[in-house]
Parts: sequence; C-alpha cells; structure tokens
Amino acid sequence: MKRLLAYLLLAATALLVAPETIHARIPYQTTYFDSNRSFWNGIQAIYKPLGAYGDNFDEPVDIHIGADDTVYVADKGNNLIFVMDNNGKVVRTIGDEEGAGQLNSPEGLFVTPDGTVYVADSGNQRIALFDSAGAFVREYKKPSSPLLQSEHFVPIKLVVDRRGVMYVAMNSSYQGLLRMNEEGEFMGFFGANKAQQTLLNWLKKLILNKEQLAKETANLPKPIVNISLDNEGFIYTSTAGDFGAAAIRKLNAGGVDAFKGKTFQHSHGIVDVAIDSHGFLYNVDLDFGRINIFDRNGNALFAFGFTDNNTQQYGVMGFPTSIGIDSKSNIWVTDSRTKTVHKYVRSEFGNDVMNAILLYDDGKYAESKPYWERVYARNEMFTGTYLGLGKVYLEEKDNEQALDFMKEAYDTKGYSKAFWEIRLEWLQNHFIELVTVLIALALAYKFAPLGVKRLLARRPLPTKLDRPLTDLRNFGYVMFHPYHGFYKLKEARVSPWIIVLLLFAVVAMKIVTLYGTGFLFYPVERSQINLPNIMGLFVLPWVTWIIANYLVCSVKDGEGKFREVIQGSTYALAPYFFFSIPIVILSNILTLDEAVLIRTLTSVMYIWMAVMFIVMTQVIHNFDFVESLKNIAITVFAIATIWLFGFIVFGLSYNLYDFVYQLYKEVNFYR
Amino acid sequence: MAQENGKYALYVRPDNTQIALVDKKTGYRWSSNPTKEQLANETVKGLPLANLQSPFALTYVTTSGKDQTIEKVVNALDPKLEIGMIKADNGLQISYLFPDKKLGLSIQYELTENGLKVRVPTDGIREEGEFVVFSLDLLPYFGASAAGEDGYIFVPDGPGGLIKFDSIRADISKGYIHQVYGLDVTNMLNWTRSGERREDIAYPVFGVRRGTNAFLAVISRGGDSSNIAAMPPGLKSSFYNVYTSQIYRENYLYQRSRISPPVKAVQRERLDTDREIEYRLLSGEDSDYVGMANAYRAYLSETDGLGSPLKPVDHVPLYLKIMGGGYREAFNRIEYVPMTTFSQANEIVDGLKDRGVANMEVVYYGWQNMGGYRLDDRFPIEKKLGGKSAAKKFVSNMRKADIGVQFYDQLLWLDDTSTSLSPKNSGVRKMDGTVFKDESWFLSKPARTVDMAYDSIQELKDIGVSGLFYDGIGSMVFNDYDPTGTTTREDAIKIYKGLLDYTRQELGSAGVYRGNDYSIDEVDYIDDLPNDSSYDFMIDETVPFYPIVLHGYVPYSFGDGGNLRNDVQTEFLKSIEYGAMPTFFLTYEESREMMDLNVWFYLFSSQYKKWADRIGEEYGQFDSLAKLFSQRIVDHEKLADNRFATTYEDGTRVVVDYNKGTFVVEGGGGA
Repeated sequence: MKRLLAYLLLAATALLVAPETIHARIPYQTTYFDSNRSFWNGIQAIYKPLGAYGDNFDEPVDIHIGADDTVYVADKGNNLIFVMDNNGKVVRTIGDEEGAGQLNSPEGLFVTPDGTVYVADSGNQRIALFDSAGAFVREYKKPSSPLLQSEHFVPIKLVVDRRGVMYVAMNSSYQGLLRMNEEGEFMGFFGANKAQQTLLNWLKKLILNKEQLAKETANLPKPIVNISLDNEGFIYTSTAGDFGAAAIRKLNAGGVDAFKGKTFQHSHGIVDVAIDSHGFLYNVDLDFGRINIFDRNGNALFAFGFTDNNTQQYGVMGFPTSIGIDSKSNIWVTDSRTKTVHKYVRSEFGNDVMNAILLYDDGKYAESKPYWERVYARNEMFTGTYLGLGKVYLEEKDNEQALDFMKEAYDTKGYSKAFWEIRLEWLQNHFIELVTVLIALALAYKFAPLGVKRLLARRPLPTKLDRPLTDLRNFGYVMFHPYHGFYKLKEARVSPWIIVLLLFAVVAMKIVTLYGTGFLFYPVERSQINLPNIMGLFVLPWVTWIIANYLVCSVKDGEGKFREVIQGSTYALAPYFFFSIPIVILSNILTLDEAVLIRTLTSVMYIWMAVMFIVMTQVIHNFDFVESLKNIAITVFAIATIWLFGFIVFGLSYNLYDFVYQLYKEVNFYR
Repeated sequence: MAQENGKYALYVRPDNTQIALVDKKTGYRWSSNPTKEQLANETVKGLPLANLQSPFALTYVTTSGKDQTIEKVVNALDPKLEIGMIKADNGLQISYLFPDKKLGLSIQYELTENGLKVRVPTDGIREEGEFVVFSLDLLPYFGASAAGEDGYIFVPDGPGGLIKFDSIRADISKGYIHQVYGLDVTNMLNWTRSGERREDIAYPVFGVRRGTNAFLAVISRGGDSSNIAAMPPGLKSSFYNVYTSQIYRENYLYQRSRISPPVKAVQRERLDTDREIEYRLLSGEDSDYVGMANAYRAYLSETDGLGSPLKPVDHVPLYLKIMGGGYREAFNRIEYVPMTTFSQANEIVDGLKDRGVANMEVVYYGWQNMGGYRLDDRFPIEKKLGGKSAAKKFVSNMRKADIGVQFYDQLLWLDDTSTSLSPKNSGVRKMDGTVFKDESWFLSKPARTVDMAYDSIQELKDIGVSGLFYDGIGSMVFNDYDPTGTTTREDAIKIYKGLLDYTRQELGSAGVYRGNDYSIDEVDYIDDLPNDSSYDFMIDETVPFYPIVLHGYVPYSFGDGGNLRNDVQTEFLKSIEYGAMPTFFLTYEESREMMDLNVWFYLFSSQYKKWADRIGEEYGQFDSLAKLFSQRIVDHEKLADNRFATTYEDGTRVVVDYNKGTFVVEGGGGA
C-alpha cells in the first residue's frame, strides 16, 4: 500500500485524495501534466524500465550517448570511462592506462559526432582528450589568463560545439561556463545564471552602508550543475533551486536564453537534461525523483520513474546523476547509488502519444490523426488528445466535433475558430429567417410600447401601483439623467421592497452572467463555480461601500441619510443590470475575433457605473464635484481599512478555532 | 543420526548443532550449512563466518541503556552457549541458552512423509535479562549454493521468481528481503520510507533447486510475520542462500510531540506467535519450479487451504467489471455522477452476448449511496443508477441468464472527513498506540470491516446478488496495536477468512484482489492475481508458480481489465500463457466524464461502445481454451526466448509466442 503514498505525493496539488488502488506492474506510476487543471494525473506507461547495467561500476556520474548510440559513462569511483554498446554490454574502457592518459575522478564527458571523447578529469584538474579508439590524444590544463588567476580549474561537466570550442562547467563556480577554444585559449565566461534579486536584498542595499554590506553573505548566482548540447548547437544548462525558475536554459551563441527564464515543472532539484533529435527535453530531478518530459517550449508533458534510497528495482533510481537519450528514444540514467545505468524504452502507447505530439507541434495535423486516434482509443483522460484531435477536425472542417474537443481541452482559440465556421454556416442557411426575426423584433420594439399604452389607457392599473412603477422606471431614468435622477430620488422615499427587488434583480443578473456567459468569454467549468464565494465577493464591496460612504460623508458634513445612501447606491447599479443583458447575449454569438465589442461594452459599463457612484455621492450629500471626489477617495481608503481589519479578526479567530479543533481531534480521535 | 523414517534421515552434529537431511531414495544430503570443503575458499571472517556455520542467527537488542535500537547477532557457535537436546519419538528439540545474556530459544525438528518440519515455539524463547529477541534467521544456509552451480533459488516475487546460480545480474543487487504480504502500514518507518511499488509476497513459500534435487519450504505458521530473504554471493558470504527471517519485534518511529522529529524505537512486546516451516524434498522430474508448485498445491490441499476443484465449463467466464459511477464536488455540494445505470449494464451484457461472449460474471462497482462517499452510510442503493428496484431487476435478469453478479465493496480505508465512524474506535493503531492516519484516511479495524460487510450482506441479500467482491481483504493485512489488546496479522487473517466464508454462505460467492494464500479456499474469483515481477535486479526469470498452484481450483484474471493494459498484446498473451480468465472494466458513458470523479481506479478508456467488438474478438480466443478451465497445469517450460509452453492434465499444450504475438493450442483430448 505504499503506492498509496506515492499517489498522494503526486497528487499533492490535486483536490482528489482518495487512495488509488493501482495495481503495480511497472514499479512506478506515469503521470501527465494537465495544464488546464495544473495538476499531474495518471496515465499508461510512456516509458518502461528495460534493465540496469553496471559491470563493476563504482560511481557513475555522467553519461553521453554517441552519434552511433554507443553509451559512454564516466565512473568517478573507478577513474574510468566505460563504453557500452546499446544493449548495455561494456565493450571497452578509457583512461585506465598508466601514464598521461590515466584519469582521476572524472566527473563529466562529451563525445563529438566523430567519436572523440572529451573528459572533465576533475581530479587531475584538466580536460583529457581521447580519440575514437580510446587512445589518449592530449590534455587541456587551466588556460592562462589574468582573469582566471584566483579560479581553481576543476572541470565537472562540458560540451564541445562544432568548431571545437569547449564550454566547461566548473565545480560550484557561479561565473557560468568557461569557454575555451581548440588551442586551449580562454575565450571568456558564458551563460552565467543571474543572481536572484529579492526585495530584501534591495532593501539591504538601500539601508546598509558599505561595511555592513560586505558582511552580508554575497548574493551569488546559482552554479550550473550540468550542460547539454542539441543538434542545432544550442547549449542547455541545468540549474537547481528557485522552484524550477530557469532550471533549464536554452542558450544560443550569444548566451541568450530562448526559454526566457521559464519556470519548469518538477525541476526544483534538476540534475541533468537530455534533448532528443526533435528538441524535446528529458530531465531528471532529485526533489521529485522523477524523469520528466517537456515539449520544445518547455511545457511539461509526462513524468515517470521513481527514486528510492534502497532501490533494488529496475526503473527505480537510487541517486540519479545524469540522463541521456539515444536515437531510438531510449532513455539512459546513471545512478550512483545502485552503481548502475538504468535503461528505459518507450512503450507502444508512449510511441503513439509522443509522435502525435511531435506532429501536432510541427503543425502536421492530418499526419498526426492516426496517432491521436490510437491514443484516444486507449485513453480518454489525456487532455492533449482533445487539443490534437480538435485541430485535426478543424482542418477537416468537421466543426461540430472540433467545437466539442476544443471545449474539452479549454482551447478558446480553437473553439473560437470552430465556432466562427459553424456560425457562418448557420447564417448561410438561416439568413432569411434571421432577417425576418430581426424585423419582427424591431417592429415589436416600435409598436409594443404603443400597444401597452393603449391597453393601459383602456384598463388603467390601480393607482396604488403608480408610486412603485415610477420608482422602478427611475432605475432606467437615472442612468441617462443622473443628476436629475438622483436629485429626484433624494426627495422621494423609495419603499424598501422596491430596493430589495432591485438588488435582487442585480444579484440575479450576476448569477445569469456566471452561468449564461458564453464559453469563449468565461472558459470555466460551470459546475465548479464556487457560487457563495463569488457572490460574497460581489455583494461585500457594495455593502462596505455603503457603510464607509455613509460614515465618511457624515463626518465630512455630507447631508445624506443612511437610507438615502442605500437608495442611491442601489440605483447606481443600473448600468450593470442593463449592460449585462447584451453582454451575455453577445458572448454566446461572438467569436474571439469580435471580442473587442464585448470588451468595449464591459469597459463602458464600469466607467458608467463609476460615474453613477460619483454623481450619487455628490447629489446625495450635496457636495461640489471636487469635494465628492475627495470623499470618494477617503471612502475607498475606509473600505480598505474595514477589510484589513476584517481579515485580521477573521484570521485570528480562525487560528484560535483551528487550534482548539486540532487539539480536540488529537485528544478525542487519535489517542 | 537423530531421527529416521521410511524416506528420510536427520543428522545432527552435537558440537555446533548443524543438521543434515538425507533423502534415502537418492542418497542426496541437504545440510544446514556449507561443508568444510566448501568453506575452504570463503573470504568472510568473524561473525559472518560464524553465522555461516550456525543453524540460526539471532538478532537481539537491549532494553536498557542509551541506544536501545542497536542490533547485535549471536549464533550457535557462541563459546558460552549452553545446548540442550531432547529426543522424542517424532521429533527432536534443541534448546539454546546464552547465559551471559539470559537469552534463549528452542528449535524443534520433526521428520515427515515429505521432508522436515522446523518449529520455533514462542514458549521456548527466554528473555530473562535485559536482552530481547529482535528477529531470528532460521536455517539461513540450508541448501546454500555456490555461484555457477546448476540450479536456482525460487522466491515468491509476483507469480514466482527465479534467481539462477549462474546469473550475472545478481551482482548489482543487495539481495531480496521482503515481508510476506507486504510491509505493515502501522509502522511509520515503512509507511514513510518510500512510495516504490512492488508485488507484495502473496504466499509464504521459497525453494532451492540444485541439479536434480530441490526443496520447497512453506512457512506453515507465522508466515504473516516473516521476511523471506535471498542473498547473492558477495553480500554476507560467497554463497547463494534463501531463508526466512522471523520477525519478533520491529523498529518504529515514535512521535514524542508534534514539533520534535520522531524517534526510532524498538517495540516492547514480542510478537507472541509460534513459527513453523515445512521443508518438502523433491527430486528428479519434480525438482523444478513446476514440481515445487505441485508440492505447494499438495501442501495446501492436505491442510485444507485449497478449495475443491472447479467443474468443467462449456465456455470460459468473462469477468465483466462495471463502474456504476462516482461522486464529485460540483455546485458546492457532493454530487453523484452515474456512468452505468443498472439498465445500461443490462444493455452491455446483452450486447456482449450478441458478440459471442457466452459466459459472464459481473462485478458491479460504485453502487453505494453517493458512490460510497460516506462509507458508513452506503444504503439505499444509489438512486441515479435506478435504486433498489432497478438493481433487483438487473440481478434477476442476470440470474435468468445464469450470470452471477457480485457487488464490489471497499471497507478498509475510511475517510475521516466523510464518515461518522471515529478513528479512535474504528481505526487501526500504530505501534505507539496512536491511530494510523494518512491525511484524513485511516484503516478500519478488521472487526469494523466485518461489521460494515455484514450490513452490506443483509441489504444485498434482499436484492439477490450472487456475492461480494472485497477490496483489500485478499491483499492487505496489518497488526492493530490497540491498547486494549493487539490484533495481529494472524488474527486479521482469521477474521477475514471468516468474513469470506460467511459471505459465501449468505450470498453464494466472494471475490478478492490478488488472492493471498489465506484467501484462496474462501473465494470464487481472484482478480489481479500477481502476474508480473517487481522488476528486481535480483530476479532472473519470472515463472507462473502461483498460477500453476491455483489453476483448476480458483478462476483468476490479471490486471485491472483488458481495456486498461499498458501493453495490449503482451498482457493478453500472458493471460493465455498463465491460464487466466478474461476481464474488462467498462462503463456505458465516456470515461472522460470520470475525470474529476472520486473513483479509486484509473479508467483511461472504458466506454462499452468503443470496446465491445474487441472484447468479442478476444473472448473468442480465450474461449478456445474452455476445456482447460477445470484442469490443472502440469508443466510449463520456456521453449526459446519469448516462447513458452503450458501443458495441462489432458496433455493439451498451449504455446505462446511473444515475438509473433500469437498462441497455438496443441494436442490433448481431441482438441
């Protein structure tokens, strides 16, 4: 049942906490990242453990897969480079001959496409070069440069680009990578991480003097833990810490990060990253103990594998130290705890889903279809399928299906496109009907009031309804004639039930917008809306406004009575009520291309409402314009104060409640 | 010579009490320890060397002093040891006393018709000083073999695992030490150690084959508190050996306060149970794992641990699991979402019948009120599925068609937030006396589980269901350290057996997952029987030991369902090779709708419509083996890489070829 714990760890961010009964077949659970819900969810195995190899390895710390899929492993403990074939059989070793070629605690290696092996020979403080047959060629010692006087040259990882320029990561160096050309000349530092700027540091700089600053621990950039190189010559650095921010950087020749400091999922304790021939990233992470697959943009796709100190299982790593991927997409991970190299192969399902994603990324939707369909046949939970198939259907002009799938994937852009097509088709087929209906509506709008008037003339309403009707009509009137309207209101005494009715209408309208707004403009699973919360946040500001406005203005010699403030604030909500109707309707028939209409309407609505509140304050309290603005500012401040106070009281009392509750539970339930 | 019967003779060396067992027929001599000649090349020295020459190794701890968790080992070569031997008609007792430590134990040997019984009575253990027994390795080097010999160790990993003496893989392993039925969750050390997933040992059996001689050892008493350990050479000695380590006390983490980190401690009370191991000797034809399986089957039927043989069928049963639905949080409350109503279930069964599925058994999930959201409030049957009346109609329809319907129930894990049962009264206690809890989940005491099951049985009897399918009962046992009295794993097993028995009496049948050995004579169906290895470094080959034991007695199936396989074809072929029944896990609605449901299974793709044809097709292939349903497996062999043959009683051979992805049925009884 320990797998239960594993599940809980994986789903730590999820609401769902029911223990899963997943029956072990592969010793780890594979998960995919659902970016819509931003949590990791279970999926079939993408990679399966194939084996662990290690003929007398002692401390394998770095791996490199050659162009011919030969596997090179740097063994720090054995002072050797092991060369294995693709089946994990050791074919030869490098660096064991006595003499100049003998290695001492090598921590990193790189193999060029022609088979030349560069070794970061850490113990000897040099870079050693071996030819493809394993014979020692030459070494690079610390380059002579005045810039490097105080530096220790302890290379731990390196890559070599096409021109033979070496990029060397040095032991806990914050300067970045040391660049060295083929002759061993220093070419400067490259791609250092940025030092983290925190608010505290900024404050310190502001307040402390020079001597004090000198005593503070220096805020140094994080050291690069590993480097990789892809086919196009980009250099990838791995950096642990900072919750995955800039954990993987993709540097061009100028040292600019193509990922722009992106935060990576599951990369707080990143150890190494490998790049496949299509540019997909595979990292291994110590904090999460998982191997993670990312697409070209660094978006998390899948996670698999597991880390356990006492592992005795294939596929479960003890202490992963580096990762590599060969041309057949097999993943290799060196593990210094079990002293082995784990090999993982793609499953049939994994092949389908990775190919589908690749073709989707390339925009080859038609080609991706068979793959997506195979994935869809075996897994309806993976959200990527809905995106992929949605695009396919869109291209095939199967718009109904596309709409369905895009909605499932919460892809508003795709949904909008599909919806546009469907709407066009509908318009083409129903144009006459539409025009007829519109004309009918226009006519009704023109003649209905007349008819009602005539009807009223014939059978007048009881006179006691006159007042309430006027009050209700004022709700609309006040919008267009705010000064006059509010002035009239100030004199009139609107009955409380009218106020309640109006407020009720506004709240009802808010609920209508929540559940009635089209998917494109409110892409939220409606069943998951927390109605009490949202309504609370809708009503609360209004209530506090009334209280604050009344209190502030009575202190500031405003005339308004409390009743008048309530009355005025209710009528000031009129724009919200009247604008919401067209917005909700339009949100169901417009696409994202016409979103500007809805945005404009919404902005106008809020500005209008703001104006209403200003006018209301001015009229009801009989202020001049500037005075009322000033008082509104104070009111807003008062609102903030009330809220802050509210939060503190709530927070403290909740803490007290929680303390008592926990105590009660502990004593009563668990002892 | 100490004992003798018609077939075997037992010899004891009086000085170090090493024993030897001679098979009179073959003259083969099994000794408890390596011989002098074998030890000549031994490289270990000191205590390990002494252990090599002792019939036991006793680990003890002290109960006074600073660190009470330091484990020390004594053995029969201890110079101060006092040895006493008592001979009786049917046995021999050797008692050991370490006078300086006031620590003692007795070991009883008894020759049987099939070999040897070794007993460690709990009354024979003497702990009169400040030293107490921690664990006991019994006959650790019985049958120990050198690397390179012809033969293997058999360990109960998954369906059965072999460790070959000529293996190179074992080099990277730290040995195989695992507790029978899995680690105990009530020990926080186990629970927090890791989330690795492995196949827990389902049957307390191990064995050794050397040339044409073999033994099979069954832990006949105290299996629930034993470790089975297999060691490769180079770890504790230069031999391969396998033995049981009997657990008497455990280390656990003790939480002194909520803030301080937990402290490691050793249990005060000794696990007060007798231990007995039965060695059965095998030779010639029977000395392979098939012979071992036969011996274990014979053992089970002699001890009434195996039910009666199955009756032949015309068509193999397909175990159709149907997910009724689950609950989720929506619209600010808990909502039940139906996936398959009873009438839809009827439709599925009818549809499969039309596709040629001639024999079915249904297991129905998620039928509880609100899908089991409140486990103590599971009735009435969920209305959205049709309620009790629909359930009755469905079950009676099925009964008419001779299809049994089992209802699935999960009565082990309780959620504190959604049950009124208090953890204090119903939850299992850890070694420190507090309730075991993970987040809000706790484990039900066995008695409480029976209580809840009783309710289910009474309610479901009225509906006419043919049985209950229990989650956890056949796969998970634990100690309950209630301060008022400990319920051991042994007790839990008895309680569960009683429950299964009662269920069969009242309803007709019972089913469980995995089918640990204690459950097999009380169940009519085992789902997810162990069928794959744990991917251990140490295991060279996985063999169908457990299926060979069970086939013809209990029908079993593999995995969650044919629609949820990681690898479609391979797992299908494995079911054929190991004689498993087909099973599928279906829903009527799209499985995507279960995305945010609280169901305990990952149903990636379960829609009936999608799978119906494939199921019909696969069933046809399974059904070609219908006549083998009630037959025992008499032989299993590896013909070549990825090619295996399974032979049944009437001589039918099923040859499975994983490379080609096919299987053929050859000969036997006019096939």
